[in-house]
Amino acid sequence: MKITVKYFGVLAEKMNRSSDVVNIEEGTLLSEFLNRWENSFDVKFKVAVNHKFIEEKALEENDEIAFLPPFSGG
Amino acid sequence: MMGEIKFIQGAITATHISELYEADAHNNTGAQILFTGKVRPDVINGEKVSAIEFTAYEPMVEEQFKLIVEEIKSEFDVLSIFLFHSLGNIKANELCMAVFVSSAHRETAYKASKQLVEKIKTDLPIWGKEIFETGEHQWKVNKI
Repeated sequence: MKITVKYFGVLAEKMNRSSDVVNIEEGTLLSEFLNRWENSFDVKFKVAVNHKFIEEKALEENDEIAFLPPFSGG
Repeated sequence: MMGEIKFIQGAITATHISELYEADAHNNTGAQILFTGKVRPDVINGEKVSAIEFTAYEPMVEEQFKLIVEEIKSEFDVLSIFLFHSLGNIKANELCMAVFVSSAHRETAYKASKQLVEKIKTDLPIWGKEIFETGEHQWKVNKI
């Protein structure tokens, strides 16, 4: 199944793009998916799924995972 | 309307600010607090910031802002809350944010405004890239 991964701020700059569509196995847990990214960036980031901060879930088709570096609005 | 958020492409101008006052004109409020954030021409390691380029995860900003508004409303007796935030390239000394709060009395409005601005800074997925006069850049880090 397909999910979308979005990158923001410094992470979009490092990836040189703002999103990817990724094929993953059905039933993949968020934590399992995130393990693949361990040590990929030297920047701390938070993760949101479908615009919300969540700890864990079984990912579903068309889920949107966002990698969010520290906010600096205002 | 309570709890409205608007992204502005480019700098926030006097016209935007007057929109805020017009929106609150008939709310029977007694105290209105306007906080505006301005792009500060910081000098970092001898290099001057000439602009900040703002990007946002817009749908999530909108959802997070609703939660902030709910929190402020549950704590303070406020009548209106508005946020305008710039996107794109904002030059030094231009306005990049306007936060408007109104209430019946000033004490409530001051307190709600302060809490609201702090929450906006910490909870909304918005990023600023500081552009130096040399063309180099660095990602902004919010200070308390």
